[in-house]
Amino acid sequence: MAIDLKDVQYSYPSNPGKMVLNIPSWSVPEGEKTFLYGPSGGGKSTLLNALSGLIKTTGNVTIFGQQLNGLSAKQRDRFRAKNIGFVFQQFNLISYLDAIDNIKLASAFGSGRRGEILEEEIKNLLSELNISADEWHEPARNLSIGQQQRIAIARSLINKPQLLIADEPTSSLDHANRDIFMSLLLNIVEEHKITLLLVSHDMSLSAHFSSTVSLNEINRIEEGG
Amino acid sequence: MFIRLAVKSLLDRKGSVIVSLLAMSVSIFVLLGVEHIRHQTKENFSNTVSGVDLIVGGRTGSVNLLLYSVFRVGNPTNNIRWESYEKIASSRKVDWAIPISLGDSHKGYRVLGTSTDYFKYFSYGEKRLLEFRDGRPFRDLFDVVLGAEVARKLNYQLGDRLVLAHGVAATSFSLHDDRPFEVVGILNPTGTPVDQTLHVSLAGIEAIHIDWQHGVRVPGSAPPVDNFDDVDLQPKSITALMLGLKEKMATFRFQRGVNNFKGEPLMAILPGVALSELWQMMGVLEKTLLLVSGLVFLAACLGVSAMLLASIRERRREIHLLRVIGAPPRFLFFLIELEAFFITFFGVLVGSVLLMSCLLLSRDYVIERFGLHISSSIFTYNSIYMILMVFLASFFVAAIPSCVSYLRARKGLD
Repeated sequence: MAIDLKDVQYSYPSNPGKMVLNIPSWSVPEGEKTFLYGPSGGGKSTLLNALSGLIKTTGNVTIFGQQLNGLSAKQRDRFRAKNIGFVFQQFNLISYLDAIDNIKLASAFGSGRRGEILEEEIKNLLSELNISADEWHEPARNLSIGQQQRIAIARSLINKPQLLIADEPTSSLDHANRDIFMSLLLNIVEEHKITLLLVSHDMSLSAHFSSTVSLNEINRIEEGG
Repeated sequence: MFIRLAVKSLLDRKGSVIVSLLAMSVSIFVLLGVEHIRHQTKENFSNTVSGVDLIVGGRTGSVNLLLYSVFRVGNPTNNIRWESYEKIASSRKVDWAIPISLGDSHKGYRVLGTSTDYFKYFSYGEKRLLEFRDGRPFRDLFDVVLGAEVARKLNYQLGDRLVLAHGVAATSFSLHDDRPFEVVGILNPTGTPVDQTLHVSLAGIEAIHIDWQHGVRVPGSAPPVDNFDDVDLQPKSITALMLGLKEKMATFRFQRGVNNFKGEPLMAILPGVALSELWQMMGVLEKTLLLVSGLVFLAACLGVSAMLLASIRERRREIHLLRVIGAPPRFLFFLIELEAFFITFFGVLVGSVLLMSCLLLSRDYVIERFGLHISSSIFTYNSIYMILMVFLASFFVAAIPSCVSYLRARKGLD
């Protein structure tokens, strides 16, 4: 399994009485493209933080056979950098770094590679994602949201992750750009055989996915969290 | 990548970073400036006189005697009678004795009447004797030897003639203009009050005052300038005398002897002890200045810390993104620390360059106004130690925002 959750529970330390995650069981097979939807405040971000090891939950969170709860904070950071790619709705990049530096930074934490081979690889990836060479050295803040999203995909792929988590990646895009982005994303995960977990409110995207999951179905919280 | 990220992050927040950098530079300027001037002043003080075992003057405070005899600051309360001088100087324990007589001036610079032994025995710094840049010691009645600063500032050369003024005011209307002196020697710079002094013979001092009474010239009583052969030019009194003893072990005993001198009330001081007393008197001021500059630096450090703390709030998403791509909490801690280090480093750089430039530009003024030779090279053992302390303090102060960033990252809130 790519993702395997068992009896996962989580409450924020600031409000221990209020549970935000209560997932008895949920799994995603390797290579599957899963669409996850749910109401605002339903615990989507908390679930993604749990999957990436940013927060420590009770129960078992297993990603590609690796139980995150058994790892130290340092090991979880390393595991996340190497195995999980992220694309967000916005604020995907460090605004004052250019495309190449943003991607290099992710590589520094993941594979630790550096030098000309890495730079060449980054440039190939950017070209593949239709980012023209004259935009490679522009600070991210000078690029359009669409370009930033594509650079974020390139960044998420640089460490050759097994799992790609996309959190509302199309919310800031218009229809035309949304379709271009989705098509690009799906092609890339297909090509690199990456498991995709996409979280969105936009139900029209679910048609592209082999599995659609409602957060309310897996997260047994009575009140909205 | 780590350094690149810190540099670019600082460049992205130019406005607040420049203000913090300026505050840091000013605080470093003040901190290093106070320390450097303190150190240099102390060095100047302790280098002013060396090799002199005792200074003897009319009974007064030891600091006062030191100030007027060595630093040419203030006036003596009493003179020493010539007979007393002769008696002390002729003691078999005395190796050499230099009489000094103060009271006149030239364009604000003090005139010192003395004997040629002054050039033979007086030493400064590491027992360095006075050296002539040009010319020779005075030999004739109206010969004058100039300190380096006097010659440089007033642009005097050998052979030039100058007129002494009665009293020590910078502008005097009582001039000894009927008996000009000729420049026969110019000393090398010493970095001591010697540089700001004109040296003449005791007989010369007597000669220009021969028709003066109570600071006023008595008209008609002056002999012709070229006829001093029959005139007794032995001074009646002198201001002080410097002594070198044959046996250093006898210094305290000889000092006691002078203090109990039967002929008139005198006192003898050890220059080193009086210098340290003088420095102790200034110790409170010195410590206050250091405290104020330390507080200025602390304020600048806290300013940097506040700026970095505010930046953490502004950079919540950036920090979250760094965490998501795998940055461990300690990376965030050291990122903030590195940013503080850069601000401190450039603060030290700008502050030091500013200080060196100011010292260089104000060099002449400080020499002229205070008689202090302050070197523009500020990097001494003390200042380097202080700079290291600055970096250490900046590390600890930056630890506040760094820890905030670290703890938030650990809790998974950012």
